[in-house]
Amino acid sequence: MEAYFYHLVVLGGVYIVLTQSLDLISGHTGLMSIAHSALFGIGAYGVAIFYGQMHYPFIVAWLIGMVLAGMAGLMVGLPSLRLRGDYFVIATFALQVLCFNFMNNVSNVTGGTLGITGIPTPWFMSTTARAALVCSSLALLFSFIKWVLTRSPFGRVLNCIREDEDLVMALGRNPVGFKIAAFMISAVMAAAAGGIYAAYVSFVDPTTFTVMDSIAILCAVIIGGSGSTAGPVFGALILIGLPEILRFVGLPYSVASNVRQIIYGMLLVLILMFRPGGVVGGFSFDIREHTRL
Amino acid sequence: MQVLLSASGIFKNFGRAEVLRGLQIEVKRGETIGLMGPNGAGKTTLFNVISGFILPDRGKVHFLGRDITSDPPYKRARSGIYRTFQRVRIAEQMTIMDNLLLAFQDRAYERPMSALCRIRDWLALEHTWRRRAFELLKEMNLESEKGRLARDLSYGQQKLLSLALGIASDAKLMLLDEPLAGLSSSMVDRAINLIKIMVRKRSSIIIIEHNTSFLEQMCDYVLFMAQGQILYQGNLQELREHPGVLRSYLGGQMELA
Repeated sequence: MEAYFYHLVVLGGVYIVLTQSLDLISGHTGLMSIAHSALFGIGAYGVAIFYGQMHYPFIVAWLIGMVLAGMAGLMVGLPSLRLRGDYFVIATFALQVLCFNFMNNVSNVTGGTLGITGIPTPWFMSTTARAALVCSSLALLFSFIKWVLTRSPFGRVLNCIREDEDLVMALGRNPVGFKIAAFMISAVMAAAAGGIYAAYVSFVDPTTFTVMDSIAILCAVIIGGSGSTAGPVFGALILIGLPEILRFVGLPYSVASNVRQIIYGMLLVLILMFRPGGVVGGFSFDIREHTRL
Repeated sequence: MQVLLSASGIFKNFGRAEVLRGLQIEVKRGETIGLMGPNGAGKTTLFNVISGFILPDRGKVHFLGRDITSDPPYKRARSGIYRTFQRVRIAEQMTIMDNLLLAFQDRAYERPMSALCRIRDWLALEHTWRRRAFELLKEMNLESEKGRLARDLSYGQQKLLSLALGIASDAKLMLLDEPLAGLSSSMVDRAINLIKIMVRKRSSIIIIEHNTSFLEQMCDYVLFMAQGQILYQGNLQELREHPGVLRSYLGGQMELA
């Protein structure tokens, strides 16, 4: 029972880092990303390949994953963030598909559909209790970093980009640079979460990093409450809590994952209708403005 | 007096509609200018051309002696041009205080690295920015509302806020697009108060407005635009008797009140 609790803490910590990273770009900057499970995956594969297979020190492999994710973020951000609105979502979708196919098909690097197994557990995660401690500290650290960023002059510009890019320009700021910086930071954070995740579960395969996962993460952030610090934490709890609850209900695995999608969808609709700021509350996606409900 | 802004030979077409036709304008430092004209005369388009949100088809815009014709809007804003929009533009889901802080804050502290590594520096500065924002809020009678989201303000208060952003950004040239339209009389007084602060700070101001008594009170002179050109430049008295103005504003039938 104790081990199970620690296991949940580890997953919770990892997912908090991931949802906080997504919230920086979607909640604070107003740009929907559906590439975050791919960026998470880049971090995970970075650790799997450079630490698990090539035996670099864990910290080096972890950083390589983050740098790669940051570069992927820059690659997608440079062309798409010059444009406004929905182009970015499409570009992130492209990144997601690209990464998934790379993981799935370039077998001599990523192990293909089989993935990479037997990643040794780093010493600081050798027991579940230690791993729980590490992951909860990381969750705290990254939540704090995001909290500082979003309250700083930098974060104020990001929030204003979400509200009105013309106003940002009228006040003398170039939105493009800020958007790219925010997306890169977000990508690096997501990869940081991914690296820890890979080291903890000791294997990676492409099914963990699909577009459905990206959408689930985005749903979780919106349900929890985007543009706040507590909202993504709540979202992460939904992300790990819901599968566990469904498991206790006793649904077979193949059914449970579909039921999960349905529940995410229902929660999302209900939240947007009755509490557009999310459970915890923050920035509201005011669908009434668009749909006249 | 030093010439702040000069635009010459500005042409702008939207499809087949010729909105600006060889427009010429010069603004000296510290001048307050009223910009009048019938709907569709191209007043807002002129603001868009000066502030960079629209590029002209032909013509040059100079600001402080520098050619800014191809500068993007944010560069022009940095060199000291602030404009308000006809539809109020403020950051609705940010607090009133955060709206103002955005205009007050120092761009040097806006990099993500300095947000994290120089926390003490920007926190210390934030005190000054907040104090100055608070003083401005007092001028607007909004000091008790500083923590509210801007979208919860009334329309008039939002308009005041958009004027205050200009004062906070310390621009040398303010382009105010109908700052009084739709305001109640008490709000009009507060808006005029804010515009007077701009005048006291020696900012040059161009105001698009139809309220002649307000223009008479505030402006050094008025420009009258029709069909994409400046038709008349001078004081309101003479404007009222100008035959071309009467024709384009009122169809030549009535007299201006």
